[in-house]
Amino acid sequence: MTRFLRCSLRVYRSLLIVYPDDLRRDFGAEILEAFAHDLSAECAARGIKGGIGVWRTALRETIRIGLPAWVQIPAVAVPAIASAMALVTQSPLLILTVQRQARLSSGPGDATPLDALFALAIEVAVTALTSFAAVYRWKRASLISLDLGSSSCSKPAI
Amino acid sequence: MEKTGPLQPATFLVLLALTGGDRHGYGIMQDVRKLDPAFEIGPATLYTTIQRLLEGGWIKEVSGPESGERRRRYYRITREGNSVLHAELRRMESMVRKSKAMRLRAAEAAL
Repeated sequence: MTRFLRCSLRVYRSLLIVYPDDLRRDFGAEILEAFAHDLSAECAARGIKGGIGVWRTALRETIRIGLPAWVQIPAVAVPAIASAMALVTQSPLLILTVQRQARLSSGPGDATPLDALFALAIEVAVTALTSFAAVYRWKRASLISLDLGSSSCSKPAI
Repeated sequence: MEKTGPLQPATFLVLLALTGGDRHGYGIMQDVRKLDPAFEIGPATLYTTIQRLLEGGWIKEVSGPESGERRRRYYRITREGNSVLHAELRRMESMVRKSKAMRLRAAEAAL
């Protein structure tokens, strides 16, 4: 097996994490095996062009099948949406700072575009972390309440 | 799995590939590419389709002829899958007949 094939398999194996849990659990080994066969056959038949074709298909599949599954996970979707909203609402500040910098010569106490960019990055990161923590806590709370419910129901019926 | 409309291309092609006999995943992928070279199918599309078809009872897993260290999983089309496939083929044939007739009428009208 060439180095390209070995590296490809390693990268593809780590890409599998993007796919839905049940698909990975039931068919992970088969998916990897089919990819290895496909890549090896295409490389033997068409060289590097064949390898690129197999990778193109694999990446398209990752976007088409893997990403929609992630969007359904609240711990991923909520922070992503919250961060995007923070980015949209706070980016005018960055633009204003850049424009102001371009028009006027700034004094020693004025914010530079780099400062504004840094503040924006901090804001987005804090929003993402806070929303992730909120979702995580909410999920834990619902799990605990479910657990309590199930244990009270699991008492033998008389 | 109930058939509510036209089959998705991947579903149709996987079922069609399995009419040639039991196949393992990679074998199905090769057959699908032979049947429709324009259709892009990779391992994830293939196994997502296989998973859906297994859940719906349109195909089933069977033991393969190999006796290697790691046995491959083979798949076989079920009676239900066969009837869905034939219904889809009839629908396609009817569409082709109708579109041919329409094209013929359009050509006659142009004369």
